[in-house]
Amino acid sequence: MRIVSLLILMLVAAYPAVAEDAPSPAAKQFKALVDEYEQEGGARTFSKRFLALAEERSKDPAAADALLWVVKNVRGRSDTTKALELLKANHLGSKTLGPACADVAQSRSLAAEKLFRALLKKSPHTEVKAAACYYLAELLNGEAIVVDQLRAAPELAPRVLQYYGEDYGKHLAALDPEKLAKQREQVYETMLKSFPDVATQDATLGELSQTALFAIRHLSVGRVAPDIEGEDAFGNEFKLSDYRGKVVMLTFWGHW
Amino acid sequence: MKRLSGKPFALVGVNSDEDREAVKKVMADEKMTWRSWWDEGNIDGPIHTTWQIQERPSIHILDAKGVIRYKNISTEDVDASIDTLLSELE
Repeated sequence: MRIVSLLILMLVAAYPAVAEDAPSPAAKQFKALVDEYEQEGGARTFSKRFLALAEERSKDPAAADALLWVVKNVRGRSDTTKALELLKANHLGSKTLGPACADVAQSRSLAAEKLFRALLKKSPHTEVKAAACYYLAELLNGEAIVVDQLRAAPELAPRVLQYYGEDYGKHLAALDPEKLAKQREQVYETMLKSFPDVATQDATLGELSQTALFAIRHLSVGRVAPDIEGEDAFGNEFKLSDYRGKVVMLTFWGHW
Repeated sequence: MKRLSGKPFALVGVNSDEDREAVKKVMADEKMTWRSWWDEGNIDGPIHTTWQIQERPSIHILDAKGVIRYKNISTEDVDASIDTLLSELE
């Protein structure tokens, strides 16, 4: 009986603490705005109101939620960039930025890379830093694909500008493939050194970064191909390097 | 590939068929004169793994110094890229 009363007392005592965790006015405003948007739709119109809320209550954690709403729902617009810049200016310490990194990587704004680099340097949370590192690599990998496509088909340039927006599109068109490869290498080196044991769905960041570093250093256009040593179906040994001095067409095939 | 005979060019393959005997038969039937490494009968074989091959067929073109110059190119671009690299040797 005494234990039960003690429990009740504890529950009563705990109650005020629960009340303190009640949503802040900014959080309530955020929730109301989300509800209103879900009724009406029109993300580009609503993004202005989410930005206004975040600026008005810049110290409140709900401001980060409002900015991340913009990043998630509006891509490649000036509002997207503004939201990313405000996150960088006011919310680098926020834990909610970790799970939001995937959206940041998809935001099609020049400010995304800057936010990732700032988080990598300044976030107090290891899991946020690791997420920023992983998605910075993903962002740069996506840029490398666009650069390759533009190199192979320069006529795609107007479509790149249209899809990625004027600022980011121009940045992508002007990227130097070698410098970009160097940047990707540096990000994966950081990942390997700082977050090797962080697990993702497929592998640890250590394993992922080692695979990526090998591809950047040895399997990219412009790099000396790794040698191949082995035997053919008849058991005869030969090497890829036997063919130095010749142009080589190397085909991975099967008769399936 | 006949037009390239006498040129400093080689076609080589990495084969991922399971059955060694089947590979030999295909090569005989198709009169394939070029050589292929047999990658332990598996797309997860050591050569495919090192080269991080995601889809097949996958064609890479290397220059005379062994540098990868074209990766995963489509069959219709093969001739032009080989000609480009051969002209660098002239």
